[in-house]
Amino acid sequence: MSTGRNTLLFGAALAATAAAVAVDTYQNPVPPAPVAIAGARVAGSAPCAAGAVSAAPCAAGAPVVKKAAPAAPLAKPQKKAPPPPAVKPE
Amino acid sequence: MMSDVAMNTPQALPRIAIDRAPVTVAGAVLVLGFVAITALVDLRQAALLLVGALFGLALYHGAFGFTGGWRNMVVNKRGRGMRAQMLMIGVATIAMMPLLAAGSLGGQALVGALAPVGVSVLVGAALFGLGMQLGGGCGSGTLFTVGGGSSRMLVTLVFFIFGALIGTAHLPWWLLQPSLPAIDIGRELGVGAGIGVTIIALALVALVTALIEKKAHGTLEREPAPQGWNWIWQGRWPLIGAGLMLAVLNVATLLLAGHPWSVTFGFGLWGAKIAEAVGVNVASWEFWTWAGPKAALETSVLADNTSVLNFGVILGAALAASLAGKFAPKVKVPLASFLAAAIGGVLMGYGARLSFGCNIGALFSGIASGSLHGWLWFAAAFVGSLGGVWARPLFGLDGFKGK
Repeated sequence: MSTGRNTLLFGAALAATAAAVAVDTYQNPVPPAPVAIAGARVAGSAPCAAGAVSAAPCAAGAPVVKKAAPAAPLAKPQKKAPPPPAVKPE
Repeated sequence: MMSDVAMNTPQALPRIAIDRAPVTVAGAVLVLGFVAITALVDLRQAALLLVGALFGLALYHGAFGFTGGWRNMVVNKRGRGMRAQMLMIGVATIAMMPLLAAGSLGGQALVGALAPVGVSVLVGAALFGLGMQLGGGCGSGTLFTVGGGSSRMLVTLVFFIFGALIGTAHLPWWLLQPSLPAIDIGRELGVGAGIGVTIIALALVALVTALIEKKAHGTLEREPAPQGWNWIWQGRWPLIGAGLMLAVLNVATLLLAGHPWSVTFGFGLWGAKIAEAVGVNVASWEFWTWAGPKAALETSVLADNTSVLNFGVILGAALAASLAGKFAPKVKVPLASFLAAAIGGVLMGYGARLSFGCNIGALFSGIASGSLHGWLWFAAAFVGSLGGVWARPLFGLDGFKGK
């Protein structure tokens, strides 16, 4: 059995979320359709575990880049450059 | 959750006490969201909102949770939930591996949930398993219970988002720890053999649960037979039916989004956007300089597949709960339970980021994509889950000894 208070709480949460999404969409507009489609299909807005190196935002692509990082500046300067993102040694 | 109304009413047309206001609001937001996303992004993205809503419907009415299923196995030695999960993953595997091997369909590039097999997965999944028992739900579980109006799970979700954000700050360090590259079973063994090996492994897990259950109880628990037709709106759906629907919807997600179902990237993104809004320069964090996250941070959440799916799950579950007259049940959240929800949420968020996903992105989609990291995730999360079940009584929750 639902309660008015809980329903109100969730109504408020929904309203706040809707407002936040509206503000976010206003401040960060969606790119024009052809760009958005190209990004989504090829370069990938795939979430973290997505496969393609160029596409993977936070998984498969990243470790490859990071693993290559320590060796690259010292021993193998001519080694093929890793794909973006750019390496930032910490 | 099978309602007393359904049990005691022999008539063909039982009364359904619909929660009208939530039904109206959730339905209206779903329609408006669909229209807005179609206008702002494209029809394909809007379709993901509907797929998300169907996920929410199936999760809510099936009460399809990984957390409860795993706890029921280790505490009560009942494995029906885990067997339904294995069936769901197996069905998705049969469809996904060949699609991913093809690489594209109708001009849509398809990428699997592939990720490295390393220390970050091991630690992250164990933390996630621990957190999901304290938080009371996994990635999908948190979403559909929030949709159903659980105020406790709203707490879990808020801290889940916070944990995911912290995880994005630390992930670059974790990725420096020992790791094998992503291992694609379908590519290593060939699609046919990859599917075969995966199905056999899933069947073995199911068999082990069946043997343990049979030894403990003598028989295997059966699906309760549905009575009449009102279960379609009121629940509870058979676990196997809900699992099969989730498998089909995950394949639909792959075809629409170009990648399988994923939940927690959206949480990290929401956290990053909130942090940016209050003045934290998240955009300078290494994670958010990588191409995908950077693009997601710089555009509307409505363009992010994972966020749209998550919105859909919440709205679909809200619709399902309201139609069943079960929206926003009155539940007391004692301080200890609140703490457990908060700690569990943080652990899940942080762990999911380290391990490239949650029970959905890493376990379900990972294994179905043929990624070995999905199996490591499963093992580590299960061990972490045992720790979580042990720790639950510290927060006034039921543990190994039940309530």
